[in-house]
Amino acid sequence: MRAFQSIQRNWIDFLLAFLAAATATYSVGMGLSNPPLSFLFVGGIAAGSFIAYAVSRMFDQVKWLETLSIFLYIGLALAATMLSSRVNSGLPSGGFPRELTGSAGTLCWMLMLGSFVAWRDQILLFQSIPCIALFGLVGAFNTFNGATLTFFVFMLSIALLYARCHRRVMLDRAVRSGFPHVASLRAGPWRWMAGPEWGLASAAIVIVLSLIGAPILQFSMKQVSGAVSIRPPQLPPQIPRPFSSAVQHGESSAIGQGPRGYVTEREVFRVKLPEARYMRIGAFNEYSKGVWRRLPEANGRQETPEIRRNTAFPFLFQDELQKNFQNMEFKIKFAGRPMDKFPAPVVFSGMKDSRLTRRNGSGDYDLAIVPERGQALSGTFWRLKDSFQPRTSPKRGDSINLFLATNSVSPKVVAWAKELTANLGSDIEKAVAIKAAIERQSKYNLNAEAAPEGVDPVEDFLFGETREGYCDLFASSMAQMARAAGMPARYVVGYFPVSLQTDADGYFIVREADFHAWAEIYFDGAGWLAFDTTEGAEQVPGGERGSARDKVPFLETDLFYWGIRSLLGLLILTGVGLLIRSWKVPVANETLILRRLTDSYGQFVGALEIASDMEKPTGDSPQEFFSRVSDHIGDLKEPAAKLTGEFVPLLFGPTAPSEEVTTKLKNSVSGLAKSAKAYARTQRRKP
Amino acid sequence: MVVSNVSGVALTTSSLFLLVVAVALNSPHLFYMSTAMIVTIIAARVQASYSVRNLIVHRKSPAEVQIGQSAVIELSVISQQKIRRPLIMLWDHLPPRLVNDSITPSTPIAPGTDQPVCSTYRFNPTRRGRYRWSKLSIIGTDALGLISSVKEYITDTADMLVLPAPITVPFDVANAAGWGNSESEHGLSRGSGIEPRGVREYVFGDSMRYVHWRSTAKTGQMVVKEFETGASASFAFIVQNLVGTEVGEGDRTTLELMCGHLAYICGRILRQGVQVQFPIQESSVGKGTPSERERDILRILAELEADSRSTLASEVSRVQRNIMPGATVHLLLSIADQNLPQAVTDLRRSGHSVVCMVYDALAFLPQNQRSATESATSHKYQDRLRSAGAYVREMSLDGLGKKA
Repeated sequence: MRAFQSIQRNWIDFLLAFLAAATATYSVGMGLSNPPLSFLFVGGIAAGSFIAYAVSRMFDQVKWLETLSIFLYIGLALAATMLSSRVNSGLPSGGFPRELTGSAGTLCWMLMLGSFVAWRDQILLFQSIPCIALFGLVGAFNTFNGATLTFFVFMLSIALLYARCHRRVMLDRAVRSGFPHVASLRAGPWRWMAGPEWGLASAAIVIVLSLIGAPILQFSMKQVSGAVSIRPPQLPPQIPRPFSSAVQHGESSAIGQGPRGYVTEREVFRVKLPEARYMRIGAFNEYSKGVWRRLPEANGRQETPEIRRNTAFPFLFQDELQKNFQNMEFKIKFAGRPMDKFPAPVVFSGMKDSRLTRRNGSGDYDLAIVPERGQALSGTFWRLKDSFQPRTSPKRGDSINLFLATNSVSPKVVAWAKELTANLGSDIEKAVAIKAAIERQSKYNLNAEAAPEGVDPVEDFLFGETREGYCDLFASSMAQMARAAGMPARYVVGYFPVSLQTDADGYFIVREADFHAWAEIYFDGAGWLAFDTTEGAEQVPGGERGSARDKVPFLETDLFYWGIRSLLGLLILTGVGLLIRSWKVPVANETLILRRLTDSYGQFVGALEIASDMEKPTGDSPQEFFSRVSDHIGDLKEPAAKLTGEFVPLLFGPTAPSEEVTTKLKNSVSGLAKSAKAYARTQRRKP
Repeated sequence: MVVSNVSGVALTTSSLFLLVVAVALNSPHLFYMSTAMIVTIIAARVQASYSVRNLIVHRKSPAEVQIGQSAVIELSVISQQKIRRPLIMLWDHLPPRLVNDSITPSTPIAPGTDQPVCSTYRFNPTRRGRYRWSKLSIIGTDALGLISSVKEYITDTADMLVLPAPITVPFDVANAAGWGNSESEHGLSRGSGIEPRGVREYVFGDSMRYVHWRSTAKTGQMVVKEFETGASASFAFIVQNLVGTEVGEGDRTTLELMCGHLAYICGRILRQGVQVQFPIQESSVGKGTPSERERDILRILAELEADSRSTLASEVSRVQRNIMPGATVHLLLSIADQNLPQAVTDLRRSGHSVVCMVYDALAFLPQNQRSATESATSHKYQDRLRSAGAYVREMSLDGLGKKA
């Protein structure tokens, strides 16, 4: 009866199918650094698997429903192709990058929708194909370190599922062949079958060979591999924004837009530095009508002879670097938030592993990976020596001119800058004076309203009624006024750990609320120096610098993140536990008895071999072997004949023997073995 | 020979594709993934391939089985190596001529080393004949069912005789003069011989010709005359078995139908005490109880093949002397034999009454081949047979495919 029951699919099959699909979609979400997306699909697949299981239980043996499932699956697969692009924008954290909606998006939707109608083995197994395709995408982008681990979980799940489906096919064949006692297959014609222990051993071998083989394979293919490069997926617009909520679209940054988006206490990364430093992710040089833009050549990409000498630090000569700067190490540990720009400590020198970052066309650094939670990178940066005092800024040069442009700056701002710096000698004095004036002039308020339409945001910020603003307006004012005073300046966005909060290991904790904007002015021998005019500005209560304006959405909280992971882990552990239980408990006793019986027979054969000094040929049945040795075992012939007679029905009968009988037989064999040894010794002594 | 399943092909292709992409992109994750998949598939392939090697197979098949009955074949397998294997399946290479339906798969088994493990399958043969075969294939699959490996084995030759199943047919037992036939051939009633015995109640299938109207009127119930065969009655059957005269395909051939009819007819008349002879296949009349004789006749019919080089007329002439004196000779044919009327005349001259049971060969032929063959049921040919003194009976094809 049990064997008949096991022909039917049960919850274990649905659990395994769920695990396979869930690992694939989870990996994709994590590969896109979008955990909520992972959780959405994992949750959807869990719901789908449960419903499919419930349907299969309720309508057990309904053939037309199984046929229907194929048509439904095809229909849902088609729906997935249409659905993926249409609903993408409604998915958590921007959903799939646009270029992946057709591939990863469709496959994820296909898996999720397909799980609702997976009422038959073919569909359960077919689901493995989109899973493999998804793993292929994750592996190709190389953005999720846990991909290999999740793939092994997937392989294990799918292998078990395949094995179970295959077993069902075999049971079905046995039933159709007219085998009279299907319930006793395990004790009968399937007794010598390679069982679960062989499966586990095979799995272990596969894993070990893969872990050893993959690096060897990769090394051996070194000469030909890497011929194709692939761009990591373009992640959705970054969630952290400057306090102004400046709308950033890669090459531009609008300022003074009012409170938009959200700024939270959520950690973005941790960084280990000698002191809190500005970490640049983007610099902009051209300003017009409230928008900063960057021109590629402006940040040193135009290869003038002096730039070519030191591409790592444009505008500075190598001897200046060595003389005025000291090279220091930093470490950065990511918190799993989506990032595509690398927060490079000013002045960034390079990463230990140069493949992790990539200098983009604007002179900033892109991350070549999608950082995972806890992933740590290390590199070096140039720190200006305390002894060096910058004084002057360069006044001409093709590249420098771009940072001196004031044609779009409000005349009122230009006039005020000139007024402030009219009587000052060195450029550094001018910069300090401008900074101080801005700090006195305006207040910092995280909740400041946007500038009125048609009015230049900087002018409004410096001379308007409220004179309140965020870091982007402070930074823009500083950059524009420095230019008006004849110093090359630019607007920069990035991170600065305002709260100066550190963890036990001395890492600065950088939060979304630490996203920042500041101005940089170029000085001879020192390069770009940061001027942060928010430092000394008065802070409006409730809108202080570094404070979080918004709460973290629940789906993106650590609580939810770890909760879901713990649940998944628990689910996997429970599944594995139940699998082992379902495997072991009903057959353990029978298997154990059979094993004891086989061992006893082995001992019996061994005893007769010793006594007769003959070896049992392979293929000899117990009776044949006894006939072969019976004339060579003396007095043992009678007990051996009796034992042979007892072994045959037990070994080859349709039902498993009882434990009592097996134990009795074992004792008899032990007695015979002793006698056999004694008999053999006697025989050897004879001349 | 290695046969891959659809899943196996899909996974193999996927793994190779992943490997190509891994090499192209130099992606460590893809190297791990593709290696894991390739190793799994290689392991599956090794397992499947190893599962079908070093086995000894014995086959046990029934010596005789009748059409309509189930033939159970036992295949016992023993492993020559002490290894545990995944389940294997056995596929017997049954002769193509052995038409069968409802064939079941063989029981999947895991061969052991000490004792043969038995796998069985069954089928219902639908064509009579003697069949011999020795090949079988063992199909081994890995534990996941991804890869299948097939190995052919040659075993001891199986020898199985498939006996025909009786096909009900209306059958007139002609008397010596060739007239006044009894129509008690359908076997539904007792006492369907040729000597008057009495009357009995009508049962479904009785001919209206033998209704005893007087008794019927008297009792108000349908009553029919009952006959019994005289102890001296003897029938001889000669079947046209010239090469090429078996028309039709598979189990729908003229010879199959003839044998089915004969199985039925002989069974009936043997129980009525009639002596039955197959002069071509046996020189003298077989002995034994009616059931033993019936069994012998079934064996004769089972072995009957259209493999003779002689025409029916020649065969009749050849065996004429062996035919029991006074026996009614039944000639079964489907293709017109132009010399047969002469042979019938000779039989009549030697004191035999002759019944020609003719079958319409054209009904068994495809439409485009019909013009090339003259069926024994053509009116012109039947007239010739009648003129020669034979009672001609055109056999119904209704029972074709319907076994009694």
